[in-house]
Amino acid sequence: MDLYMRTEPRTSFKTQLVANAIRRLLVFKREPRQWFALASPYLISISMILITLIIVVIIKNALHI
Amino acid sequence: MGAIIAVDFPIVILYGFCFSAGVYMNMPLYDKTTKMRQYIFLQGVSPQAYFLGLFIADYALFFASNAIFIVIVEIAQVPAFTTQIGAFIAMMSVFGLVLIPLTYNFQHFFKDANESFRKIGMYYLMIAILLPIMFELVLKDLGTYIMFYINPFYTFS
Repeated sequence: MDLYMRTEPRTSFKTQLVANAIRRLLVFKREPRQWFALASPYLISISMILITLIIVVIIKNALHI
Repeated sequence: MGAIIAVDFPIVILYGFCFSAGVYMNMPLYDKTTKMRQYIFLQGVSPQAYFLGLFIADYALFFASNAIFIVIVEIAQVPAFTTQIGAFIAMMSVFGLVLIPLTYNFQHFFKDANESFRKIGMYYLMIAILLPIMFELVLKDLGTYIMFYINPFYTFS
């Protein structure tokens, strides 16, 4: 193992960091499920607020407030 | 409108974050189960570089989705957000800093990436809702104080 580790080319910490970050972004790009998962908190909250608003307006109209 | 957003938004967005947090766990867990991480470490990548790289990318994705929401809110001129947009950005930034490492730590509870994606929401809902209720019932004000400092979901909501 030590021999293997010594013969492997060494890269800087920054290169490793950037390579991992790019790899993660590539996986994200290829998986549409992750796009929806990331957007879902905002989509859910916007739709829930709109639904609540519609209900409030319907109740106001029904009670003639 | 402002009152509806004030009541609805924190609760609903918290549910959303609980159920979508699996996205941050998907890749490290996939690497772990397929032994990919072992190969990456054998190739000379340090664990610090691996997890920090993942974190930077995940935080960028978290912030990108947040930025899109902020742009939409700014265009729509929703008064509840536009008056406190700075505080909102700061809050979301700090919450992202906490949520992503917490999700990385939860990977030890799962053996499969798809399973984790489904179950992490339930675990997080328990942490976000049941744990504060239990602490408050048992420890009263001290429970609220402890939860405020150790539970990111409680602090966020």
